[in-house]
Amino acid sequence: MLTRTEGSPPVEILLVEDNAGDYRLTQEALREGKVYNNLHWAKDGVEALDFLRRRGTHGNAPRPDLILLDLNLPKKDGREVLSEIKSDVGLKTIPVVILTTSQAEEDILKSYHLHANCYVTKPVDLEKFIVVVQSIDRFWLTIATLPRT
Amino acid sequence: MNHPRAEIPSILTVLEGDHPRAEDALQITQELIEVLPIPVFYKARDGRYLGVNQAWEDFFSVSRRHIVGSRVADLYPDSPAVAARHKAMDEELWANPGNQSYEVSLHTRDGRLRHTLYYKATFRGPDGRVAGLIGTIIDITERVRSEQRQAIEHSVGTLLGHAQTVAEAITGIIEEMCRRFGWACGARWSLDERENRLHCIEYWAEDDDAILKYLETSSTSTFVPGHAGIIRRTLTTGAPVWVEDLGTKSDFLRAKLAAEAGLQGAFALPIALGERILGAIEFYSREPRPTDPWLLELSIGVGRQIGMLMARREAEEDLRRAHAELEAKARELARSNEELQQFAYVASHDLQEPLRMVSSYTQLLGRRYASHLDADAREFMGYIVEGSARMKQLIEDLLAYSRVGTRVREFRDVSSEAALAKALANLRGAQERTNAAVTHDPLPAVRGDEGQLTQLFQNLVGNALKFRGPDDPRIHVSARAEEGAWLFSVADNGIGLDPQYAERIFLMFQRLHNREEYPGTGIGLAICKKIVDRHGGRIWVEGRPGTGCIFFFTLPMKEEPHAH
Repeated sequence: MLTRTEGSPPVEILLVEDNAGDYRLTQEALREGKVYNNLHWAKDGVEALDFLRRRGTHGNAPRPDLILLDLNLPKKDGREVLSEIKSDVGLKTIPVVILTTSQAEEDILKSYHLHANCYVTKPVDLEKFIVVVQSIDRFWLTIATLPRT
Repeated sequence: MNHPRAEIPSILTVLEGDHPRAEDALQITQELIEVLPIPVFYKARDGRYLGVNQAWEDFFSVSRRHIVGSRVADLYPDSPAVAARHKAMDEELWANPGNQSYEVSLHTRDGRLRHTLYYKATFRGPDGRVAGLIGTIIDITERVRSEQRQAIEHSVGTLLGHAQTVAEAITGIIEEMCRRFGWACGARWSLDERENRLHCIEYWAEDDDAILKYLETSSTSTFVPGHAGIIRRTLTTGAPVWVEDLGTKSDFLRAKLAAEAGLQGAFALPIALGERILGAIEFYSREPRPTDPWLLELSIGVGRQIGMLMARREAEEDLRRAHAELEAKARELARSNEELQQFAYVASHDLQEPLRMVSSYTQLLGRRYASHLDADAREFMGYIVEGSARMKQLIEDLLAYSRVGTRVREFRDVSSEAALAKALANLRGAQERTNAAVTHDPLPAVRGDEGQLTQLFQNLVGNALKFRGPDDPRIHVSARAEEGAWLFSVADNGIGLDPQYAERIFLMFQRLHNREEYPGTGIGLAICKKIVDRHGGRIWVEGRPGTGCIFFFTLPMKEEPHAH
């Protein structure tokens, strides 16, 4: 398995999630993982786009290597955020993983239509949740080859 | 009336003579005329009747004694218009000697209306000048009536069939009746049952200010129903009323107004549907008008036709209203379905998120603080996690149940065998664990939703795996055509069931066993029933404790291509 060598810069992950509990769980899961990372948290869709476009207080935000995006968000929901990312030449190459509670067929279909890179349903079980987050992390950041930025 | 009829043999005697004389020829002519079965008359150049034959006397009920020497006006004391017509035609014939023919309608002395065809020709005296005329009358009443009946039935039928509104049809019919039967105007009245008042709804009249004024005055008045008057009597009794001369009718409220408008004869017919009187139409004539039984009968027929139209329009209106109500209900249903879908989505997302928090953080507590917790605390936390998991299952099953109700996909022809294969693939784990043998006959194509049919088989086979008996499960699926549908069966060798619960198990949350024995939410078979219901089929179960169950359900056959 490929892993990033010690000393290389940490990977930047943007979690777009309105639930603080989920942020904490994701943090816990990543902490136990093998990938050296910086987890950034945007609480709604507007903040997520501000972060990505370095607007307002996010003037110094790094370009994330991976975006974990919830669908149901205040202000601007995940579908709109996804649509804007995937129609922005500067952002569309960043892998976006939909990480949501919804198992609705229409949400899955809509997300892929909007060019989500993959769709994952949050498991209720903690152990499974940790496995899922770590798998996402490992696959996108160590197994998959992404374009150089 | 008692003139002896000329006898045919005497005429023959004259004709058989060798040299008939002029006086003989005249006598023959007179006798021939006398025995002709059609009315014949002859008049002098000054218009006085010279003579008539027997048939003429019979036709008019007038004796030749009373007519010879008098003029045509004396024959029609009550019908100056008819007399004037004949006089005008006579004048024309004097001016252009020869012959002529024309039709005229007249009333005979006994009050019968006759339609006649007159043939008239001039004859010359010894001096060679026109001395008078001879005429014959052919009674064409039957022919004219049958033509009139056909014409009126045709135009009434056309009006009833094509008019946009009842009012338009009735106005047209009134006009048609007036023009064809010599009425000057007509109006429809109806009874407002709530107000118990008579209202004039629509009318038609010849272009005559006095008559129009009469109708306008009538139409702005309302009357209380009763037995007096024309309309009121017709509406109350349902019988037609014919007034030969309004001047002699004492109980006609509008007598003075009618007289001012120059209206004298009147007739009202009911618009009836069986026993129901829906209204009445009144007609007026400028002259007194003897009762015409034929026209009376014809008009009643027209009234019935109008009644049927009104009833049909009423029924159409009812139907339209019912349809509109149905549409409103359908819209309401679509709206509530949409709400339900919305609800289902909210349930799936918003209910599960807090549940995930409860479950995840309880587990996180367990992981991180295990050393600080005693056995009780760990047991309690176990219950929290297990309860959350069950809650999640319930939410998911409820969601699946609610999704069945909202048709997302159109029904199409699907292979039930393919649906079963998918269901079995989903159940492979459980099947291998229980060492079950699932077999099936060839299964037909049906009309339905493939995803739901897969779910149906999955729930039924899954049910059989769950409620297995002491032996390895053996499950067999088959189908046969029955009464235009496919009858499927899923038979197992499981624990069976008490027949008294055969209906209950298809209800939501109904469980026959406690959770420790057989886990589950009690929704699986309710989903099966909902799926089969949505496909227009039936589902039921047969079985006894210990002998296994057979679940039966019906599904519609696939659509046959239309034969051309």
